[in-house]
Amino acid sequence: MTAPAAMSTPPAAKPRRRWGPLILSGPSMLWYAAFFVLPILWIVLYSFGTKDTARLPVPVDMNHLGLQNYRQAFGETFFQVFRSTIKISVLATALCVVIGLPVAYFITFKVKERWRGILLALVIVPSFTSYLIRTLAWRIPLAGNGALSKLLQRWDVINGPISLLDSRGAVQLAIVYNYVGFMILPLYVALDRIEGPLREASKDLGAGRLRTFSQVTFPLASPGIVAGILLTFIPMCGDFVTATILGGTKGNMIGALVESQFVAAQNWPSGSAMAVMMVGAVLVCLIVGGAVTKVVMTVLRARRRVSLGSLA
Amino acid sequence: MNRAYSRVGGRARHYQRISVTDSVTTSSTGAGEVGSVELESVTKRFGTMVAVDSLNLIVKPGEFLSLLGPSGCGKTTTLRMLAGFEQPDEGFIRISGQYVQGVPPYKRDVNTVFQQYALFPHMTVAENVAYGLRQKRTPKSEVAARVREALGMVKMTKLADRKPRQMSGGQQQRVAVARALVNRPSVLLLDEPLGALDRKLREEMQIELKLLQSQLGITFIFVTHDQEEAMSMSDRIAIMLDGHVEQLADPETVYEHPSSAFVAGFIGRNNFWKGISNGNGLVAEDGTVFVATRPEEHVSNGEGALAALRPESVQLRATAPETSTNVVAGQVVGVSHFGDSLQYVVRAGNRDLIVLCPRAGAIRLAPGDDAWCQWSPDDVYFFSARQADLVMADPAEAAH
Repeated sequence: MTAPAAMSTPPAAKPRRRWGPLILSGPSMLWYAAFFVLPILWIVLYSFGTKDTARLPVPVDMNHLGLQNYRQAFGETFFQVFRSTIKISVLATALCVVIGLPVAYFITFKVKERWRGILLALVIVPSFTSYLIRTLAWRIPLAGNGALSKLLQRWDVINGPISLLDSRGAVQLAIVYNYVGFMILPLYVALDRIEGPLREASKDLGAGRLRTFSQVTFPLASPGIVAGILLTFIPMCGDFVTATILGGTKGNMIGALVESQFVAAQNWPSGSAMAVMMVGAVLVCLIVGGAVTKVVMTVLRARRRVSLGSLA
Repeated sequence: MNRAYSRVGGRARHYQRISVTDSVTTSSTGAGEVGSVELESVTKRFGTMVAVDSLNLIVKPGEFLSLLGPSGCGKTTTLRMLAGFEQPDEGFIRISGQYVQGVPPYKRDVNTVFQQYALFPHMTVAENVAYGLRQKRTPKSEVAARVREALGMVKMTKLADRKPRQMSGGQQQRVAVARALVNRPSVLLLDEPLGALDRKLREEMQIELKLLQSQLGITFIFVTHDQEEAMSMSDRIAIMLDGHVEQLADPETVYEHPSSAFVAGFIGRNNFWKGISNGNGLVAEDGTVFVATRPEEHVSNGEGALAALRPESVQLRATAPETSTNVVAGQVVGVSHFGDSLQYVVRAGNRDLIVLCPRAGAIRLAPGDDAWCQWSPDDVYFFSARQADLVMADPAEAAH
């Protein structure tokens, strides 16, 4: 480059280009900092404090900081609830994939275009209606004298009345129901982006339905599956409504435990410590899950690789 | 046929064309042999729309056959039925002598080159090409050798490790051809494969595809709406209209002896006149008298008829000729330079006439000049008026 060419670049252009996006995104970044990052930091801070009900409305004494809350939380009850929360969430996420994928596949590839929007709305709209009412509604069929129990008795599947209410099963069932819509939506988007001829090309090249699915459709839909897992697994781990309404004592989840610490026991530091550990556990779960996926993908890719040998 | 396409014995799955003299001994069409394709009164409907209407077609083994026609003529649907993506509602299809009703695409001995290439975006070029072989559980060492061979045929070996989105349209096109050919199908189906390429690249690919086809001796069925493309590559062309074959012949016959006004209008360009038959010609609506010596269709005296005249058959004169038959007087309204030829647009009455003169020795006229168009009776095509609406839908537009 010659000197005049370099000089012809207006010096003001560069800084403007750099600051423009920052200025535009500034308000929303500030908003997130003030109402998301800061409260989380606050929770982390509280988790080191001690309970002091004399200091309402914030019953936390920040003068004696320590790890005592974490030490307390590492008790038998906490671990039991913690384990069951992770179990329920992992199983529910897996079920959401298993249920959501065929539904999304069906809507994307097997339904005529004009029905697609209607079906999608039927799946999505309930997911966005009142969460509380939908969860409460489950109490009716799940009760001992409820519809499900009566039906099963009439068909002689069971002898006496069963009550799924206030059990882990009820929580498991309802949590899958509550979140499956959030799995179907990203899956549909991912599948819909796969161009039609790709699946035809696969069949044309000798792959049957199953192999076309496993080698073309599924790999191309994987970003949607990852998005769906994140959209369901993370909120499931923190869910407290389902456990509070349907879980009773046997179906407790961390979210409900944290909520009871904050609201019922007025023990903010203890609740904060549990919340921090839960967030950490979710992160660990996601990192482990991501790593396992990465390894599996690498192995699969290596099997598919074609080396042309001498030409490389 | 001067070419000896032959595939000796059952499933001759070799790339090298076997040039032997006992070609096509069983029958002149090669029906039933490996690489042959037969369609017998095949009909396909989508709702109330008839896409393919009792179509009959026999493709010879090793032939380069084009399905040519305007959009909506059923050519792509026909190809999709051969590939197995659509099932015919009526009629039969035989590929290499085997009925293929209900045979899914993955069990057919045909491969397709798709319009938008349809390369798998998550796989490299080599993995894309190897895909078909892997489905047949070909040993790894053989896969590598055959992928290398196929990529070599389309000169893409160097880009074997690229992903499709890192390549140009022309490169993707070559990979798509390699991916189909690596399976050594008896029949290769090509669905407007060059439609998305620019003109220069398209012409290069036309030559390469044609060369590849004659080297491999594989039957190519090539769908296109581009008549020049079909003319330059094909052994035979099936010109389709409304779901049936309007004419099936080699490029020269199709050009020289179009079987209908539609074919005459679709292959090359033509000036059309509508009028009333007078036995050995017609009197056009504007009074022009046409004498034709070779009617392509029989038209009885007094019936509506069409005369067609190719732009290159017309001679342009600056002075009035002595005769008045096969002559139109007008005024030059446009001149275009096509490199090797000159195109004049002559306005005669209320219609425009296109005249093409070779550059060497062409008469030079300017817009506004008076001009007389004259032609030989041997160059006048003569058809019934049944397809008048098809070829003269908009006279103003047809003239441009």
